[in-house]
Amino acid sequence: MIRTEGIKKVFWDKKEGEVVALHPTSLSVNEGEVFGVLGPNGAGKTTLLRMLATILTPTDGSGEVNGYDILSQKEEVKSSIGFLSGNTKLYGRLTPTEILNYFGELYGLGKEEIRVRKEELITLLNMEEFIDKKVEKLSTGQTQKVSIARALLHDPDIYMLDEPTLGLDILTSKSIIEFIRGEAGRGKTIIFSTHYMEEAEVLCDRVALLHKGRILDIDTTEGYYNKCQGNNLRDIFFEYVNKSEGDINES
Amino acid sequence: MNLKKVLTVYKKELIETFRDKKTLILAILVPLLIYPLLGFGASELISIGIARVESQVSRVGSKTLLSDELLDLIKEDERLEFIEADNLFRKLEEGGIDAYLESSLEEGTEEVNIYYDGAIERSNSACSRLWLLLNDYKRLRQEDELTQRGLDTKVLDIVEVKGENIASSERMGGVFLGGIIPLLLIVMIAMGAIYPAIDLIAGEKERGTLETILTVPIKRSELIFGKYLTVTTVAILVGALNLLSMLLVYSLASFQLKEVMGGVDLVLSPGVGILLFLLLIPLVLFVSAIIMSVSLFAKNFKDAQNFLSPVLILLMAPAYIAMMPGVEMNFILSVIPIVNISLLFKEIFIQNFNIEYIFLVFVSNTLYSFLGIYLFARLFKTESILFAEGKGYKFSMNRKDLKGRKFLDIGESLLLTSGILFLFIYLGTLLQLRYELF
Repeated sequence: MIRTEGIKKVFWDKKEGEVVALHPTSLSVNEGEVFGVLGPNGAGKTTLLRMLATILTPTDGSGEVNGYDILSQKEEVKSSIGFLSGNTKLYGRLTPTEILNYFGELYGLGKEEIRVRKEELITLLNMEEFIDKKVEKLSTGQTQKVSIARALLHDPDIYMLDEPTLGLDILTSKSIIEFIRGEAGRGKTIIFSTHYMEEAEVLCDRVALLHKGRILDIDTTEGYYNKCQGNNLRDIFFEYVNKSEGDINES
Repeated sequence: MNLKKVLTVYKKELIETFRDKKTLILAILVPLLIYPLLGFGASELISIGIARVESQVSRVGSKTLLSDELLDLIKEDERLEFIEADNLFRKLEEGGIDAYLESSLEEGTEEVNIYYDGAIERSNSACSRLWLLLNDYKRLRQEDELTQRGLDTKVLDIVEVKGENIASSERMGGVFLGGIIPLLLIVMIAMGAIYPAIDLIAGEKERGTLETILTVPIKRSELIFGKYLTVTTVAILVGALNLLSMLLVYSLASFQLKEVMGGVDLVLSPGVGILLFLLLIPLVLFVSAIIMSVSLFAKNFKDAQNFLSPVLILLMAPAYIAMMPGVEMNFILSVIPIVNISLLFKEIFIQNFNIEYIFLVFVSNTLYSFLGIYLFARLFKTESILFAEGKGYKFSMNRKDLKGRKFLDIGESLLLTSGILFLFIYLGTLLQLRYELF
């Protein structure tokens, strides 16, 4: 469903010169899988997801999403995915209804399709009471629900969720985690980035550990427990980081 | 390009823009209120000012003994009050009197000097009154002299000079309108484009909605055109409202001040108004593209305002050139943006325009607007500009930063150009003055 081959991103910084945000990375995510990308801030999670969503163009390497090339078939890729991140905010002066209508039209849905899908999502996410209020008047949790509805309006097969619980309170985070789990149960392919180890542990079939723009390993949570000494994903992550920094220092 | 998507973006951006109070105030309220307030306020003040000056009595002194006839004339004039005092120069400086006369006899000619303070309105008025009075005095003296010599006084009217202004009152009004409207319009159009441009570009970056729209299947070109159409719509609306408001206010003010303005009519025909509006469109397209391109470099609203303030000055400067006396439309000026439209407006107002120049101005401005759109589209597709998260532009001329690079970036080029201009203007002028190189 998702495949990358040596995908790499380099930014130019005036002070530091070339900054490698993501070193050549190869990975594949299977259909119906919940794939976690776990790493601290600045690890390269957002860059990876942005490249997969064709928002950023890779400096090198190639990739496919739902069989579409991320370099030459950007629109097809975008039609196949629902992308949500902490950076994908909503228009404050519009109401959730207006936002959903707008994005529905941009996804090429017909009026009836938009109406049906909108009703489904309003029910699913409990948005009835604030659907006609301006977004700037909504709480963080309500806004996040609208964001999810916005990203999934066209019922994509692949969800790309970049830290979807970042900055949310415990209750809202929990409802979002449950929503993701429910969608995984419906057979959706989900690539999910987080720096909360517990979320990755609860949700993901497989987890990629990302640190300083490099994938340290990709495995199931069980696989990590078998290979490492740590009792949870957090300790396991630190084992990998220590090992990787030791390797870098040696080399 | 999918036109339906462009229109979807356009519709949404318009709704958002018109829900923004700042845009509403600037686009609708300012032109509808500011010109009537300024126009009627100014005409009222002028009327009051003129009435006040007219009703004031001018206090006139004399340093030397004046002839009886002249003194009689001064005393007969109700608008003049003769004051006898010492140290008249000081008194004039201190405002104790408005003017004083000094009379002397030079080889049989009576020379009368009026001393007044040209920086004070009241003193200027006294000077004008004395000037008229002294002309009458001169005439009386000449007639007396001729009569004493037994000559006919008609000899004084042997030559009569008259001036006949062939310009219609509308054209006379056009001189005034052509001097003020182009500059005001350019400023208002730029202001009209600035707020939606900042809101739709830098504002979206700041609010984090730009990335949201980049996740949907829409081409950058469709997004760019949707946004561009919104900014130009608001700017055209602002331009049209300003033009309409200005012309209405001037027409009404012209009617109100008919007596004062004497043969100057500020009323413009609807046909000319429509022509001006059509000529404004390519200008709006060009100005909007420039403003949107600049606001792309900003990371937030505040940044964009800082970046766009000098742009506004740069847009106004060419309009000033057109206001300078003696600057007339020619082929070169007709293809220089802003200067061309300002000059053309001036010529349309005085009804002395050339159809070829209208064509040249329209075509050249349309071409510039295409170039502007192209520039904006190129910049919008540049990741480093679109995702410049909080970095902004750093002006750096350190050797280590420049080492190993073939080109300067925009910030560095701007700094270098500004440095050269600074040296050219200040140091260059000093050197030229010092070594008399003019």
